[in-house]
Amino acid sequence: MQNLVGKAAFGFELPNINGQLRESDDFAGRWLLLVFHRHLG
Amino acid sequence: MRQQEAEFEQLGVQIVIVTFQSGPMAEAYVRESKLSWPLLIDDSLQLYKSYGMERGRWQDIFGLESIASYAKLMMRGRKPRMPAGDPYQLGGDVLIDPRGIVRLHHVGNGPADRPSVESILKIVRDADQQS
Repeated sequence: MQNLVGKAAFGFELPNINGQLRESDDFAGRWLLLVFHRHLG
Repeated sequence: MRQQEAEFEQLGVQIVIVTFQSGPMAEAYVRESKLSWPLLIDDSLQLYKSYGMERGRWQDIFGLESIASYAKLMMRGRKPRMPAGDPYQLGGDVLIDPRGIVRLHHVGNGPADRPSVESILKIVRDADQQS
């Protein structure tokens, strides 16, 4: 896959562990670091 | 990364952890790690795939670099655990600026392959100085 630096980030809508949905707009306007985990165990 | 948490905050960087595991495993992770950042669950792997984080190869996951990485963690007192979930799923890091533009896109080739915290902070500092 090509490196996406300089491209627009993908939007998302994902739940937290309580089932509450958080979307990318919640974090808009500030720097955001998405840390994608491998398995949690 | 937690050691530099204050610096991330000072620079206005929000951190969100994304996992593909849900249910008791995710709840236990939040509880045991005393996680202060949001943990979001992408169990369909849609966002992982959007950023090219697919399944890794055997040699990436269980190769010498991975063994060395786990050995380092053990020397720091961390006990390795058997993976619960797909051990082949790759992770990575994506840094997005306030305008919604990707400034760092790193797909980890294995457990040891992560960008340094300092390199992430440098991108933010350099961009803030230019603006």
